[in-house]
Amino acid sequence: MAATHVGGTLVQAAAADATTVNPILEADTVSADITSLIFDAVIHVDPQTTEPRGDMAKSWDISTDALTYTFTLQDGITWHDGSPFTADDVKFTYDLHMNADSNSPHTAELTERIKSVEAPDEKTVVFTLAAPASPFLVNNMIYEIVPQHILQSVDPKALAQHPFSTGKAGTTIGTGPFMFKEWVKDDHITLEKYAGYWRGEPHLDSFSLKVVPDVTTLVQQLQTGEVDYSGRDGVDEASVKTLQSDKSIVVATYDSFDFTYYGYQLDDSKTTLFQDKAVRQALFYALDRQQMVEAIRFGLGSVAIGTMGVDSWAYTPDQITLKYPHDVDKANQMLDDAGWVKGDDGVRAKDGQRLAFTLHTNSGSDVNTQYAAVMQQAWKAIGVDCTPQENEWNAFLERLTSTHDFEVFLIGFSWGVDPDQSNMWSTAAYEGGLNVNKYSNLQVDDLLEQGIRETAIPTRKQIYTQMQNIVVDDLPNAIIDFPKSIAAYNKRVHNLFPNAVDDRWNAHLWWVDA
Amino acid sequence: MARYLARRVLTLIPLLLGISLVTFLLATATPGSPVSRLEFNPSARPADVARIKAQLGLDKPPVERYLDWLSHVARGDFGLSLITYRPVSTTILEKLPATLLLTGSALCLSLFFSIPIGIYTAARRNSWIDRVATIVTTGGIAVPTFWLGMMMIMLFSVKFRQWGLPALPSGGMYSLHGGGGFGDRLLHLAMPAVALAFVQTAVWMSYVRTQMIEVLQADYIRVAGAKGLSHWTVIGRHALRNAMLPLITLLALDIPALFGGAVVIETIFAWNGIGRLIVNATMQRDYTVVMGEVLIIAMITVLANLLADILYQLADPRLRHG
Repeated sequence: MAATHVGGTLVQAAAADATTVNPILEADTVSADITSLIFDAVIHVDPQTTEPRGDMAKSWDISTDALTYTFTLQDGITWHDGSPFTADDVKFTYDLHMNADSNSPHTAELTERIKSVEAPDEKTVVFTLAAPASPFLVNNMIYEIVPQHILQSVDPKALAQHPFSTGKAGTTIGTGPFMFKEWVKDDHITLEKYAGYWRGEPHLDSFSLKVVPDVTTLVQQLQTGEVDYSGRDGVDEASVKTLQSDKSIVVATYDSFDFTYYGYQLDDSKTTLFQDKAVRQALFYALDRQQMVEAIRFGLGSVAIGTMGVDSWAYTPDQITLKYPHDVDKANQMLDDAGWVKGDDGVRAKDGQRLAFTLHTNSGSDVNTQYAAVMQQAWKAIGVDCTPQENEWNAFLERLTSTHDFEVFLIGFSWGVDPDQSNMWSTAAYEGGLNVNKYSNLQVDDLLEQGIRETAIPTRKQIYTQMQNIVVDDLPNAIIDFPKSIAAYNKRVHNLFPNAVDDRWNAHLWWVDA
Repeated sequence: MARYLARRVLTLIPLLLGISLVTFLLATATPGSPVSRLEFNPSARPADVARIKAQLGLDKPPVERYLDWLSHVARGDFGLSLITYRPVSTTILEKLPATLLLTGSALCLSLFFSIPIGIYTAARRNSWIDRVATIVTTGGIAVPTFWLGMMMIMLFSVKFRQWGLPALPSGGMYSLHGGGGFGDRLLHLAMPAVALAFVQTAVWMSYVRTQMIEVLQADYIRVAGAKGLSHWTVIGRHALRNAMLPLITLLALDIPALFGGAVVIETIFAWNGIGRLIVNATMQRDYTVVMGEVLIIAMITVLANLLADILYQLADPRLRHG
């Protein structure tokens, strides 16, 4: 089948350079875009169902107490240097992740979750968990496996500066469809096909990831053919028209796990403005979110209902009670009832405190900038004085996560595939998690715990619907929209299916017109 | 002269120390850190972030970090990048040739155009060519480099392709679709080099013109003319030499400006040099790379200044020190 479509190069763009080609160390999407072609994992997430699917695992078995996972591995998998892949490599990889001397960002979570990893024979790996954890397969078994025979003699402390991590042909080897060839820093990474790939020889000769930091330049390079594929979510809404008018380009828009939200400061040592739930809800009612999505996202997205992304199996909009339709009268009424009275300057106040605050967002996002401006206007109409302020990305993150120096912030984010949202809503997620505004509801904490322990999807769905209804009523964070992701690629590229879960699952089948 | 040189070189040391200290203070005062990609990231726990920070030495007090860095630099070790874990010296040196190629080409282009046009417009003052050149010069000095670069891409890469004309590549140093030959590289170099050269050409052209006009009014030129020498012989033999000498100094002083321009042009044209490197390193809070590169650019700048001073001394005997 391969014979007719063999050869050629596919060039994908990335907004930044990768930071590493070692999957143990990676914490950014660009590095993941490269390592996912060089390496394979035990489990992959099915792009259609978002459920776990075997990657290098042929099958797996979960014990009835949900503590023991036994994986049977595929036959005939080899590393790029020809040596056979075995269960020991899997054990080695996870042990390395859990070694505190390595720079793995997953050490804490894996150490907490996994009690032991054993490889009783070449084709079997057994994971024993400390407690049942339903997201385990899709969250933790998707880490790519590294070769024991290359890395076993490397001191984990020196792993980050080892050629395996900084990229060296013949040393940076995996089991995936493409082999590492060269990395010209800040410019491109080139991979070439691995003819011995276990799923079959790839069609492409080579693949390059090219750094194109600016979206305007990316659009130009797609048009000139210098770039074949924008990468997942590589194109912004404003560029869609330009690209669609170009006959050589395909524009794909698809549901995702993305969302845009703003968070209220709930820590009363920072501000007391948002302690009253009525204020938080009133502000949300004042926003015409449908109009925002139409005008600013060019309709590429939907008004958020609940907290689960559109692509998630836990997205249950019909069962969410509070949908926050645009209702200015209701917003005004709620603020009146809560005792916030308009002063001479048109701004509401209560007990001498004006309803005035700064809305922090990040620079470099046209959508967030425009959303902030619209929110300022909408809130002004109900007597709320909001001043938008843009922050450079790194400074913004420090403001949110370290100093917590904000009243309201606006940001875009993306959920993982599993609907566990402990990282944002649980009380514990204040320290280092996404719960930067110090939300705490013990009932939510309890439901999140249940959601992790429960393994049956229908039951989990119910638990998460219940959790969403409480969170949406408490409204620590108001989720504005669920944007669609946008990707663009040249018509010469075939078999490429951009989606929110995984666009790499069939990389060995990608081909390009000569 | 030797003593003067020694004195000048010695004064460079406190200057470079001061520059490195200021850079370090600015870098540490800026919010954010090299590990911020791990923050607001559900896959990394606070314990992991703290551990990785400590492994990078970022948990130490700033004074200790600066002294640490300084003692390593004194031994010629610029340390590892905090993002890629590769040696800072390799990171910078592997990109330096690209920047030198770009700035060097721009320099040659500017000289190639600015000197002849400057001379001609001075010799034919108030001719229509002079007027056109003056307008272009004023425009050239006023146009921001980034705007010029983007307009060139818009016209020569995007519009030319739409109109079916031979288009230039919009960025990068060579094509990833089987490119990399001499012709391919030359096509990629064309636009960024011209964009970078444009402003310089304008500045030098007006400088050459002014200088020439001044010299042409000198008595010895009138004498040369009175001897019966032709207009262009007077310019070529007598005026040019005197007008050109100060230009050498200006050239040396302008080298740092070329590096500055490269920061903008390299970012726009995705030219993989040290200008783009410092922008990225700053964004990523890659302190060691920022410090290393600032130090190297500072060295180039002070050395260029020193060179300018020396050339001045050589060119003008009145300034020669004992």
